[in-house]
This record gives sequence, C-alpha cells and structure tokens, in this order.
Amino acid sequence: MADQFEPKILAFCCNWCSYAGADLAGVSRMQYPPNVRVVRVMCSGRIRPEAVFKALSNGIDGVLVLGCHIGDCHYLTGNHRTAKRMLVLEKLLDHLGVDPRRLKVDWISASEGEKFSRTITTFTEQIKKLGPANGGAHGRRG
Amino acid sequence: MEEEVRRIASDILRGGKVAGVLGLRREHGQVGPHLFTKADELGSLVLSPKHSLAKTVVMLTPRKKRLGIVVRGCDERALIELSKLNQVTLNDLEIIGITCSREQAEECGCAVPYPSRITVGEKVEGVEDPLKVKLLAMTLDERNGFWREQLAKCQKCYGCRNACPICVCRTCEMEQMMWVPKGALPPEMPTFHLIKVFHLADKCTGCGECVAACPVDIPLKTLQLMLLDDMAALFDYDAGIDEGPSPFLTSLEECPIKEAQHD
Repeated sequence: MADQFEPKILAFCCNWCSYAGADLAGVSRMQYPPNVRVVRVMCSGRIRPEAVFKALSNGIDGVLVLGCHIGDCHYLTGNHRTAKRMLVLEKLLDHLGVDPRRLKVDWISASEGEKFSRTITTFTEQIKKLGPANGGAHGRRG
Repeated sequence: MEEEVRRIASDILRGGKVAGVLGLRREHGQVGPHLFTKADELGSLVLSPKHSLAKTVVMLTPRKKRLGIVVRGCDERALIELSKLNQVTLNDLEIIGITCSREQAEECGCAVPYPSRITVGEKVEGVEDPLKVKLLAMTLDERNGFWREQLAKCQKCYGCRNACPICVCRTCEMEQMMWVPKGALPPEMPTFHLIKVFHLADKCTGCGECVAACPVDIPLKTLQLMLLDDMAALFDYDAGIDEGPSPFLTSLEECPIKEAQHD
C-alpha cells in the first residue's frame, strides 16, 4: 500500500511571483507530480494559519506556502509576515504532534519555473515518505 | 500582604490620586472583581483566589479619572499587551504590583510570578510548567495522541476565549463559519483551538485563566507556553515585556529574517 500512496498537496502561490513561476514551469513544459493543487492568493502574507490547519485536518497531506523572495514582495513586506507566521506555525504543528515537515515555506520568483517544479517534486517525495496525515478527529481522508 | 495592599489602596484613594481601586472583594463568602471607591470599603479587599483583573479594566475604559488596580505579574503583562492594542491607557492606571508566593507559582507553573515593578511582596523564582517539560520529552506521535485525547473533550463553550484577558476582538475568528462549522461537537480538531492558540502566540501572558475556565480541563496554556518559548528563541520577543508593533506576528513591519530559516 505504502508505495501506492498518492498524497494530496495544497500549494498556496502568491499572484506576483510564485504563481507566475508555476506558469513558467507550465509553459516551459517542465514535469512535476500531479499531486499538487494550486491556490492563487494575492500575497503569501494573506495566508492565515487557520487555512493551513483546516487543510491538514481535511484530507490534505502537505501544504506548501510559496511567496516572493524576501525583499521582492509586491506589497513590500507581505512576505515578512509570511516568514514570521509560518515559522511559528511550524513550531505549533510540532508541539501538537503533527510533523512540521508537512508545511513548507519557500520563495519562488516569476523566473524560477525550474525551482517551482523542483520544489513540488521534492516536497511530494517527502510527503510520500511521511505517509498520510491523519485528518483530525473529524477529518475526512480521500 | 493583604493588609499592606489595603493600606496603599486607602492612601491613594484618600489622597485623591485615583477615583477608585480595582481589586477583588470578598462578600457573602464569594470573591469577585470590585471597584473600591471609598477607603472604608477596603476591609473586604482580598488577594486570593487568583483572578485576572485586566479584562475588567478594559470594560472600564475609556474613563476620565485615574484608577488604581491590583495586579500580579501576569496581569501586568496583560495590561502591557492590552495597551499595545489600545485597549487600556497605562498612564491612567496606578498599578499596585503584588508578587505570587512559591506555592502559587508552582500551582500555575509560572516562569515569572512577579510584576516588573513590585509594590508589595518578595520576588520568588519562577518554575517550569511540568506538563510542558513532559510534552517536550514525548515523541511526535505521543504528543499527537495526547492532544487528540485532550481536544476531543472540548464542548465548544468558548470559555477559554471569554476568560482570556487578551481576547478583546469584537469579531472572533473562532466564530467564523469558514473555519469552525456550526453544530459539530467536538469542534474540528485542531482548527478550533489553534485559532486561539496561534492568535495569542505573541501576546499570551501565561495567566492560566483559560485553563481555570475550561470545564473539561484542556491544558491550552501549556501549548501557549511552548509557543512563548519559541517566540523568544526565534525572534527574541517576550510577550508582555517588549515594546513593539502588536500583534507582532501579523504586523507588516520588516523583520530581520533570513530566507534560510525555513529550510
């Protein structure tokens, strides 16, 4: 069973860098696993920690938060907020007994299509190794 | 200690320095918050059981006159956090800081059982929360099992939020249908609790009101204390002490962060 496990991965991509990076990966026909579902947000700083918990307790096995490189944020400091919040969120997941590796923050610019496909590939491999997230007391798996 | 607090309260009341002193009053065998406005009432002022008066003082804000308030270490930190959120004006308060005894510190698992400015009492050393130490020694799966069991008891009474001196938002994320569906018990684990825990990660003062209010004894404070340690380690930030933008984690202030920290 374990080798057949196909994780569900949610990737929040910011509109200005990471989503454009994903686009570039697409138009350049780069290969990456189909496990990822992309949600486009205007800025990685608007991704609430609630959204990450909610995903992890409703059948998502890993969450990627992708934003502009520090210093390149379209909104100047939006990704500083992401960086602060997600660091603490990783700690909180750890304290709660959820493997913090299920959450990954990375910075992908619009020209880094190759980095996008590489990030998705390595993250999917990692989540495959970790196995399914047990979707909370009321979590649904599917 | 009680006598000394009464004497100081009476001095500032009689001296006209303050219009009232907020403290705990024992009446008919019950103890509750009370605004003492006359010095001769002060005989019924008591210091225990422990109860945070920071939330009460928010209800009394804004006002024209200065108020005295009896605070412990955690209450003082709560007042500082509340002032960052513009809920109280510290300059309008005459703070009577009291220390906690060794027994009280142990009961709360409190690391800093004294205010920064002590009016009455002797400073005692803080203690580590025993549950925190126990949890940190566990494996990931054991911790997961522990919290799963604890959070499954939740009756979604919102007592932890209502009792928290820092929870002052008028619209609460814990009531948003988007995160917490109505009519489900226990509430979705762990979203429901983590909303509160995360929102308070940079503000919690470790007073333990959430645990005292919880009818099923979920040790939420321990989770909060673990995050406070992380905040200190990651950002060198101590809630209730440091100046700075608040909420620290959601502010858009630039922060000396290295990209590599996330690897």
